[in-house]
Amino acid sequence: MNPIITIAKKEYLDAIKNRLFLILTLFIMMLTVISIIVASFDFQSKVADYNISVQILKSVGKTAEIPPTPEFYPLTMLRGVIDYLEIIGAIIGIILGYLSIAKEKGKKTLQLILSRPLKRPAIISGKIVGNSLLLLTVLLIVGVFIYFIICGLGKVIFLPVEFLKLLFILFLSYLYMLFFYSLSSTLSISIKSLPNALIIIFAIWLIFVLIIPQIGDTMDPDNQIPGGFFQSMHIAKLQEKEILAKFSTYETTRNALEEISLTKRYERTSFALLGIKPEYNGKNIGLIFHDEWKNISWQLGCLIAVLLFQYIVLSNKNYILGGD
Amino acid sequence: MKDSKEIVIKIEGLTKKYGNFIALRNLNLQIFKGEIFGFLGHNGAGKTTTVNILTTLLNPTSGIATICNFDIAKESIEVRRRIGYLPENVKFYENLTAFENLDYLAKLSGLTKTENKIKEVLSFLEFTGFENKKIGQFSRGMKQKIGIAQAIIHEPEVLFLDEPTSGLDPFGIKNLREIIIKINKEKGITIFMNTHLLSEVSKTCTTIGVLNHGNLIYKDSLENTLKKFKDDVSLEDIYLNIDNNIKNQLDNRSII
Amino acid sequence: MTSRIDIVAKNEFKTLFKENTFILLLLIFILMTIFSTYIGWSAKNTIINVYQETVKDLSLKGIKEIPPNPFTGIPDLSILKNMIVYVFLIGSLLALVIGNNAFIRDRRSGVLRIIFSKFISKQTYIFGKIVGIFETLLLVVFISFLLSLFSTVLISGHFLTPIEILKLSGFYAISLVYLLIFSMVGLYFAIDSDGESIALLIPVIIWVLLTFVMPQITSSLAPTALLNPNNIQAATPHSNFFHILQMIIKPFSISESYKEISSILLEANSGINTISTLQIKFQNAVGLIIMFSYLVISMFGSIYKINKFNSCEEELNI
Repeated sequence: MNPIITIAKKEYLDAIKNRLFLILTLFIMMLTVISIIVASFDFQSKVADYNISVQILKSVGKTAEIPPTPEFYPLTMLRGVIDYLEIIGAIIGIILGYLSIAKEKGKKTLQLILSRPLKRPAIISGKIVGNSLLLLTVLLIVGVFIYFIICGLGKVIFLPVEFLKLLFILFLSYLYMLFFYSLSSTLSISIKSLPNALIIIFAIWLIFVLIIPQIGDTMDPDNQIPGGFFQSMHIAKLQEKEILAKFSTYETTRNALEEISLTKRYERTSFALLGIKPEYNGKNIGLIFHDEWKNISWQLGCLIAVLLFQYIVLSNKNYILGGD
Repeated sequence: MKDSKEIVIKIEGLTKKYGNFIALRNLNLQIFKGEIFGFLGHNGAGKTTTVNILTTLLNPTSGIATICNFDIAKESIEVRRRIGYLPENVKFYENLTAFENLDYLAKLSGLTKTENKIKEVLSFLEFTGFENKKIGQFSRGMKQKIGIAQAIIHEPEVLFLDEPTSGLDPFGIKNLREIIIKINKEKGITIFMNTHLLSEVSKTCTTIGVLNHGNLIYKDSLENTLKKFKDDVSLEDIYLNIDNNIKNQLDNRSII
Repeated sequence: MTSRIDIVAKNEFKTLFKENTFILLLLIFILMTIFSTYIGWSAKNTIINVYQETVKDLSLKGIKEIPPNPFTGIPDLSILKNMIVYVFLIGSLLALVIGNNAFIRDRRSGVLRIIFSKFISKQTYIFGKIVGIFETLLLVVFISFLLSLFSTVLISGHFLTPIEILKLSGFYAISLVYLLIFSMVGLYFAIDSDGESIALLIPVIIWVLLTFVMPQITSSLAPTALLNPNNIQAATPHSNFFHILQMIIKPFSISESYKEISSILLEANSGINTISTLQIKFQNAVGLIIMFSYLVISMFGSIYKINKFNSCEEELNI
């Protein structure tokens, strides 16, 4: 049997027997369910608020001022799911990457594998293939849950284009999680002490997944008031852009900070596909990709870079021996 | 006699540095086919570093080494096809059975139809009946047997053992000695063994080498060594004698 | 004569400051403390200018009914509101790692058998660890307090009033309690788990549950929206679903209690409050009591667990 397949099969079987991986998978499934349920109740309450405001406007004879009915886009229910994939999905990637190396390093089975007549790239590829399949399994489960809750329980029918958008989002999520897997396994092999490696990986996760996006969000002038500053001032989107253009240095700095974070870029593309911002609702996928090509390229670029780095590091014999 | 024997391990000028620290200094060594070579030395002498380099796990800083005429740096895959390796204190995949561990490692060695091979090697090692037990439940001695099994299952020409008796009780040590001799005699595998246990060296090895702070300070057959140092009562005395000679000759840096 | 608790505590404190990973996380926390003041001040100035530009723009378009400035009289302390997020985000993870490592380190190195063969009971040992963790977190919080104080004075250009300093101290006191909870959770699972990775992962999952999931359920805010300090006092959707969940779950959501109490102390409540001041005070008092309960439960949980711990067990798994 091809060694890549042998190694991949073992990685897959090891993980599905591993408590940690099972706990994380169950956890993300639970979070998917909670997010969608919370989002649906939130939408329900928005509709209820809308009906009350319509009644009030009608009662005072201001029927001309009745705002448009809130429109339901099923994919917008998945905003929380994306947020959790950003946070927990990254952790799943990190844990898989760490365990993939830690189990070999700690038990000295790494030396046994490396002393086999195999090329290093074959060993690395086997691990990547096995763990990729695991990530795809997790995302498939998440996808099935989404479909079951929204279409099964919610009796909503996904349009073909919505289905396609969902598939693209799951694919982007796979690339995102694979990035963290690669980063984690590379650092686990190159940092001598495994416990230190795990903490450093979590520090990187903290900075790029949570802190940098948080700084960007906090600095956003529109986020200074719950519900949006510009909305409270009844300012339209076009006007908002004109006003913010006068603060270009601040906005450029804020934007640049956000763009360092792969998480933010993944979020922007996913939110565009989900139609979180109204301007993307009902928009053609091709046009969304056109708008988001920079973010998508950045994600692909980061993944390719970290995979290359992984191959270079794991092929360097001086990194292999060590550990506690 | 030696000249007619094939050289399986040839080391020339092998050096390994870790920053400013020199783990191996200009090592020159030849191991012939069929030998059981005992590599002795104090803790930190560079024995494991030597084995790591020869098994292609580590790159030397300078120097050349060949195994079965294949260069360890340029033809590492060919080298690994011909060697078996048992590191010190391997734990294996504890949640898998012995069979599953061997199956996985045998496949990585390029073997197909591993089931028969596994049965064969376990039978050779007289270790049958435990294939379906999880390795986590094995004693140290049993794990070592599985360790030897995975190292010889693909019929290598050279077997590297790093402190194979570490953590074993006297029965385990005796058993392992018998296995090593059996592997060497019946399969013709050359054995390169790092060890501290001088009593075992005297019962197992055909040739010994002594490493001191990265320098090879002695190498000869066991037979010649015992003749040379006939005044010393045991191999331990010989070893300490050699070591003391070096301490006294540090200025001259002469090799015996 | 130094008590055994002191010996263990001092050793814990000393060892932590020799660990590179602890120093790394501490540096991140300290950097964010300094940075948070700058972010707060920068965002405050920018939004005031944005409002003024917006007003100009609306006036030019002939709009007479201009909404009032929501940022008038922003208190000086409120520029520190990002610290609330950094404590419950970075600080709690740092505390978790400190607590976890305190015991895992000893397990990993195999010294537990040696320690427990000395004249020291397991309870004394764990008390010593708890004291050591407390002293470390106290130092971390104190450094952060000093940095916040100086940076606020530097940026605002004037000293804080005694009341403001008291409120700032109160914020850091409540932050210490919050951090201690997570350190005790980390310690508990370090004792309870049979693998190093799972010993860290379970507390991280609990951290996610407390930091994101519970607040999401009670407020409908998406997880990343919870990281915006301006959303702390955001109005909850008018829905029976959320009101019921708030009643049942919110008192136990310590991150929300922490954020609300902290935002009051730092005078950062800029949201729309639809509930009365008395109700807020009652809710916060209950929240505070529950926070202390969490701390006591997790602490006694560790003490209980150490008594059951077998120091002769097989070495720690990966």
